[in-house]
Amino acid sequence: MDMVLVGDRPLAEAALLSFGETGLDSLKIDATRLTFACPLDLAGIVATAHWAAGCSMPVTLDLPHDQDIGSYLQRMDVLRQMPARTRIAGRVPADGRADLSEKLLEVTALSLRTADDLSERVLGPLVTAFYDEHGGTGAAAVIGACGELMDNAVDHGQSETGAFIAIQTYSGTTTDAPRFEMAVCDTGVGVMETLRQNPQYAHHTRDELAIAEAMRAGVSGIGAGRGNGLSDVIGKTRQHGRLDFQIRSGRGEVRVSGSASSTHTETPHSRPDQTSGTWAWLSHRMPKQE
Amino acid sequence: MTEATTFQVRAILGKYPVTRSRGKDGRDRLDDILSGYNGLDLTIDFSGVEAMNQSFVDEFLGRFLVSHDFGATDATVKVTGLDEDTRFSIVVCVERRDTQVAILDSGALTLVGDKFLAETFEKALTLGTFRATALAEELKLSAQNANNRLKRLTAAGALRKSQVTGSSRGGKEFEYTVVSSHVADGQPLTPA
Repeated sequence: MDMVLVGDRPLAEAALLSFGETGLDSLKIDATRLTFACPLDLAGIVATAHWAAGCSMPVTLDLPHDQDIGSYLQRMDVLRQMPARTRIAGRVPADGRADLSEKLLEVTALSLRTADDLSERVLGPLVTAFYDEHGGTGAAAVIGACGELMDNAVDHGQSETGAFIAIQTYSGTTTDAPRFEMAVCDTGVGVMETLRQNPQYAHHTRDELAIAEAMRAGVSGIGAGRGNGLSDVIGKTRQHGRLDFQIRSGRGEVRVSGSASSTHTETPHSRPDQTSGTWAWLSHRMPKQE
Repeated sequence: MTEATTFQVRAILGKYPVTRSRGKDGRDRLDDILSGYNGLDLTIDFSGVEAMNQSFVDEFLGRFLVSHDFGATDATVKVTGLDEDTRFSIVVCVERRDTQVAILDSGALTLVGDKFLAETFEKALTLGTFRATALAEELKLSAQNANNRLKRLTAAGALRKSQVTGSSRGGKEFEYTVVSSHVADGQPLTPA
C-alpha cells in the first residue's frame, strides 16, 4: 500500500491510502513532497504505520526532501514512534531539541493507562498556558474537548496497536489568530462498529452516516445516559472561537466547523480509502483580538 | 451521631481529570466512604480542578448520585469548590441524569436539578429544621405533594430525615434538616 503525502497537511486534506505499486504486502509512506504537517498528519502517519506493522506488513518511510519538514517530523517524534524495523529512507535529521512542552506535544502513544497522566502533566498545563498567553477564554472547553477525544480513543478505540496523539499550537504571527490543534488517531474497531453495538443503531452500513449519527447528543453504542462526548466537543469549543473538527473512520469522514455566531455545518463524506480505527482532528482558533 | 468528611477531587483525581476510567475510580472511592457509615455528611470539593470533561463528571458524580438513595443511610451530599466552568459541567451532568445535588458556593446552599425541587429546597433553607406540614403550608402544597418532594430531596442527600421522638400525634412523625453548610477537613474517616 502507498500513502503519498504531498504539499501542506495532506492527511487533513486529500491524501489517500492506495494500493499503488506495493500492493497489500507492504506499506510505503512517501513523504518526499511533504511541505507542511499538522498534528493529524503526524499522528496519522504513525497510526497507519502501526496498523500495517500489526498486519505483518513491512513499513517504509521516505523522508521529506525539504530538510525543515524532515526536522519537524524528527522533532515531533514521528521517527521515534514508528514501529520497530521501519525502514527510513532519506537523510535522517539531527535530533536536537529545546523544551517546548508549553507549545506542543510530540506524537505520543495513548492508552487507558496513560491518558489521565497525559492530561495532568501535558494537556492541561499546555492548553492553559497557551490560552492565558493569548488572552483566550476557551482553555477549559478545549481541555474538556481534548479529554473527550482521548477518552473515546482509549475507551472505544482500544486495540493491540494502540492510539497516538499529537498537539501543536500556532501563535498566529503568520496567520490571522492563535490556533490550537490536536489529533488523536486510534486503530480500534471504528465508529460504526462501536455504534452498532447498540441495537438501535445496528442498521448502519455507511461509515460517514454512522459518524454523523454519533455526533448527535445522546447517541451511543453503549447507551445508559452516554453518547454526549462528540456533541460536547463541538458545542462547548465553538463558544470560544472558531472550531474546525474532523472525524474519519472506516470509509467515512465528517467535518464540522462553527463559531459562537454561526451554525456549524456537517458534511458526511464517503472516502475512497479505509481508515483503520478512528482519527479525530480538532483545530480551535481564538477570536481575533480587537 | 453523624460524621463528616470531604472528598478532595483535586488531590485524589487530579487538576484535569478527563477519562471515564478516572471517574469510575473516584466513584468507587465515594462508594467505599459511604458504605462504612450511617449518617455521613459528605462534601465533594472540586477546589483546584481547572478543567474536566463531561464524561468524567458523568462517570464520577452523575452515576454516583443516581446509584444511591442517600436517605436510606441518613447521608447528606453536597458539592463545593466550583468555578464557572466546573459548575456548568455539574449542572449539565445533573440535567442529563435527571437528578439533583446541593451546591455550596460562598457559604450559600442551592440545589441544581428539578426546578420544583430547587424551589422546595430554597424554602427548606429558610425553615431550617421542619416537618412536612410546615413545608406544605409555606408552599401551599398538599401534604402528599410535600412528602413526595421531601422524599426526593432526602434521597438526593439534600435533606436529612429523622424521626421525632415523643410525638403527641399517632404514628411516626419525621422532621427534616437541610444539608449542613459546614465543610469538614479532607482527612479520611476512621473505619466505622
